[in-house]
Amino acid sequence: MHIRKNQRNLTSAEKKRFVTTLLELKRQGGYDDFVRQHVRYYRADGDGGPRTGHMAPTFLPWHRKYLLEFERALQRIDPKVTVPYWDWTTDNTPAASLWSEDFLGGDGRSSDGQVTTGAFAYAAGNWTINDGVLERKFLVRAFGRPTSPIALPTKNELAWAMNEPVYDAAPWDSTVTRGFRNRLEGWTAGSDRTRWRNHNRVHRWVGGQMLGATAPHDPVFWLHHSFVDLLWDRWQQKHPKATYLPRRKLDDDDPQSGRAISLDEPMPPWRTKPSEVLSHRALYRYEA
Amino acid sequence: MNSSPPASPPSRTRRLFLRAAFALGVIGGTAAALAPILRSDPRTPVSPGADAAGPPAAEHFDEMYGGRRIQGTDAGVLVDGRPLHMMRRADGSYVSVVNHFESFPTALATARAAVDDLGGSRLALAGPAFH
Repeated sequence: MHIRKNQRNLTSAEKKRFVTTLLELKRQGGYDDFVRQHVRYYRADGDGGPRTGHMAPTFLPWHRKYLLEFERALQRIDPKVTVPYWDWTTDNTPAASLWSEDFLGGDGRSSDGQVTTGAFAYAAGNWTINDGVLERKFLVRAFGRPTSPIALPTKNELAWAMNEPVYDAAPWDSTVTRGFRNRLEGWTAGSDRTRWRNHNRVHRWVGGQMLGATAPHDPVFWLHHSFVDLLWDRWQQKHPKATYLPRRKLDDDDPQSGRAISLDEPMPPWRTKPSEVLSHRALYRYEA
Repeated sequence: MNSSPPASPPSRTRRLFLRAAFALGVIGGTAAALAPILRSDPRTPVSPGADAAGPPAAEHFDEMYGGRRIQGTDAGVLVDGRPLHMMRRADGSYVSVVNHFESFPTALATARAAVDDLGGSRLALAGPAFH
């Protein structure tokens, strides 16, 4: 049993431990394996085939398992490390200690977006990005999209998702307007300023690699998804009678059959079922 | 997967795209994600909810945007001649490898947004770092 803390409450020693362990996992090659896995299991709902990571009911259980596997990889290097969480409704400015020199480093510079502060700056030599997607090798951020500014989600915007009493609904994809899952994941239609909600909006706000399929290149990915994981937990507390949906395997004539994964079907790549990760409390807890 | 030629002789653009797409596909599952794009007939209209993977159906454009050449071709979207990996949402809009957490109504809008967020970087043509 371990505790995932709010990143704002980490001690200097805890920050250092987390950063050092990430750099070691990167050096060993394991870190990029996780990035690749995120790319591999991103499938959009206009495509055929099963969707596990995104635009699907398994968005939450898939990322829970994914983070847990990542955390275990870190703990094989340092058993005391856990993945902190970033409450972006509270620590919602570039001045947050999250972005300081001794933790994740700050915004990208204006010329090319390159992050030049902290341990993940390219010049420090320990965080080279080489994934075949873009030619650039350095971590990039553009907080708040300077060309057309947006803000991080507010508590009210998050409540719009948290107050939803139903977990998810047909057609179990990015077009569903009801349901906690998609309101938290953030696929909604709308104008340029409103079309990102909650989870998606945070990716948009950070910018750089966080915008794309290779988002885990930015270490803040894990702190973001640790908070998303906590939000699922809070939602369950708020709606104790609600359950993961769909509960049963979809009928063969359902357009989402074989595409959206139900409660007791295995999620690739681990074969873990959503029903096995509905609660994390036997594995880890969140700091109150 | 790079040994199955198209049924008819490919155009130069399509051949370049296929070669580049294969190189891009070397990163993990992007190969799998690209497969439906390579298979689909771009002249087939896409209907939302169907197996709608693929390049923008016959959305042809060729313009300079933000100092980059962006092209919509039968085989997909190119930025400075390099393939921009795109996926289709169920509502018919697109996400690209550069913007995976927002979508755009047209291939042209997707290409322009990718240029906006590429900064000074180019799409990788052959980056077999993940294999």
